Amino acid sequence: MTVMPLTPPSEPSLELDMKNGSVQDPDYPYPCPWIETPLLESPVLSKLAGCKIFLKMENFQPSGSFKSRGIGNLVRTAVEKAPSDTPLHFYASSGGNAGLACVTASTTLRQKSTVVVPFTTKPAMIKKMIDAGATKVIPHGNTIADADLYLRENLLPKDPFGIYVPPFDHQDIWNGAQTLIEECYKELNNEKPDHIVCSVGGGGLLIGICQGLDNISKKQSKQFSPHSFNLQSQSRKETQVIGVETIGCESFYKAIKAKSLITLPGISSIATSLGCVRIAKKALEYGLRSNVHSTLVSDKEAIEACIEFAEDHKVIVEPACGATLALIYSGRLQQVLKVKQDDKMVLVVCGGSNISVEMMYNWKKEFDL
Amino acid sequence: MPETTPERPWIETPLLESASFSKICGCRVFLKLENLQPSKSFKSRGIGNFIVESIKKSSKSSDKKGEPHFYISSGGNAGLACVTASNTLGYKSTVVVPFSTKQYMIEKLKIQGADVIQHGETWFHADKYLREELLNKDSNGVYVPPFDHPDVWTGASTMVKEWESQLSIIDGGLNHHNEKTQADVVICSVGGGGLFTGLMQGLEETPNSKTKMIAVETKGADSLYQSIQAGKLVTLPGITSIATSLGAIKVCEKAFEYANKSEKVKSVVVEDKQAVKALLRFASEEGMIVEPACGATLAIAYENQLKDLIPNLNKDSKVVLVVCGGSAFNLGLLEEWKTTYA
Repeated sequence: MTVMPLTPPSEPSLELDMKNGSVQDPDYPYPCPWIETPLLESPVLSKLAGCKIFLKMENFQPSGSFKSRGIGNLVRTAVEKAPSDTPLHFYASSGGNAGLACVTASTTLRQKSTVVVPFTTKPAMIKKMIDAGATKVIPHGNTIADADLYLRENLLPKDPFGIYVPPFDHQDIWNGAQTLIEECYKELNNEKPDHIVCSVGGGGLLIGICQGLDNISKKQSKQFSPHSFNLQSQSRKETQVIGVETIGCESFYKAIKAKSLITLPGISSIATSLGCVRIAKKALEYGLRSNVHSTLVSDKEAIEACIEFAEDHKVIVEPACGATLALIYSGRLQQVLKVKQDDKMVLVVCGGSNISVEMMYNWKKEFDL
Repeated sequence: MPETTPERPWIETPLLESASFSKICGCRVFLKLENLQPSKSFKSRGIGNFIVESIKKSSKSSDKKGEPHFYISSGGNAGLACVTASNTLGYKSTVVVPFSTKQYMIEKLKIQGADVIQHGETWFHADKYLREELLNKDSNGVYVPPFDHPDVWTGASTMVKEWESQLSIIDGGLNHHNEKTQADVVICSVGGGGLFTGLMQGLEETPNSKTKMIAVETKGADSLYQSIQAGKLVTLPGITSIATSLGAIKVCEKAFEYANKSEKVKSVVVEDKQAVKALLRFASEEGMIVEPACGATLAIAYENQLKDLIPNLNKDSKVVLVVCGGSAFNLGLLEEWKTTYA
């Protein structure tokens, strides 16, 4: 059982790229919009999976999801690059966690933020954005594409200090997401996990994880002398990355099958936070590697996993996050890969605010669980 | 890296600053997430420490007996903590629970590796069976007390240094006197008083401690409050609150002493309804499911009773809510209570 408090880490034993990491340097004037989250061992899930399961609790991020890392880093990097005291204004089009992360990070860095949300956005979500300090939340359009168009054509051109915040397809976002795997590495006593499971929407999190694993491998191979073959081969074991989607928003799965980017005609899953019709190009590049796997679960399995997780771990997460948990709860893991009892597997509990107790009850009834 | 070790079968829990609670209370509110302990409650600390100390004593003692075997009569959070800690450290444990114990709690105990025996109609009968039939016949048996023991308090007291370190780091390091940052107010729930006593003990160890404490109980399980009113330890005739984890008919003497003598302690009572409303809101807003026992603490913050209890709080004041956790609760109950209470 391991846990890191929301505190700066001790000296990293490996020289990781900490410029974008979560180290809180007291002399560094830009506060970090994300925290180090706990990594918890789960006896219940370990028993089900047949290996050691660790939960990376991203639901405790200030914005309620892992997006605090990627979008937080994008916002922070923009503030850092701008001449000091420039009053920046960050703009996102999102009805969910990306918007909330944009607002939360902007508030932490004392900047303005505006989110354009489609009309379908739940009032509770809008309230959360306002509570988090949004300058404006503007409902516009029936889809996220309409909201985005309005933002780009009507708001951004009029604001000389406006900065567009994309939801997932940006190098700064991946650099932020990468800190997650750097943390896991430290929390597991400077060892890479054997497997890591995450949900895939646009692919920002998966890209960050793969990028981070590459960086750790590079640093490790520099550290070991050519004589220590054993150590080297052990430390170079390749972490298996499993990206999970729900049926109905399988843009990653389809892209890998086709070996090219695919645009889905629409989204038909309740895991709306995964509802991205086209993944980032970089996600496909990583997805075609032999250590990266793509798998699907049904909406029902995702919901069932949310309910079981709430019973076992007393934490309520949205179906997008339930998809990752469903890989274990549904027993589908065996179809993806074989695990050994001592293997360490990290499940990214990506969090998300698009959930309430009522929604869980309703799904429970709807899916007859 | 903080991890469970042979010296410490519990973890350092995160301290999260909560924007929504801070907004309600008009000061900086932090959540100490004891619900993330291996046993899902703060009891991992106190009972964990008791077990560690027992193992130390047994390895020092001259008469070579076998390894200690831990016995507890609790189908609740204390039982889970005992089993989880014993299992982590590689020792055996047996839990005796009355027949009334819920099946899913028994499953939780079993998955952690305990022998679970169901016996008797009430806790009294289960405990009697444990002491007379099991403990008496096992020379390696150790009875684990749920709250009334110095080792339990010392375990609970470790939380104080943790949040003081965490608050210092959040504030950017030690202050100009080279001291750690203290909380202005701490809110915790009181059952038998083990947690409360431990925290008071921990605060005593901090030089120049200024931290005030709000001890919360639910009506019908308010053994500390009644004792303070009466000026002596009071035994309640029974427990009528749904917060069964707070349901000790008498608090430990040490808890009464601390609460009675210290001006820094405020004892307050909330209704069941307030505790349940608070936990329902906590589940929806923060996504964590806790027991009514823990909801009692949350109610003080959600209803912003703080400013009445502790005047002179300002926006920079730091308040720590001990989210004590607990397993005796689930989604089904949440649904049921929503219609009853909300």
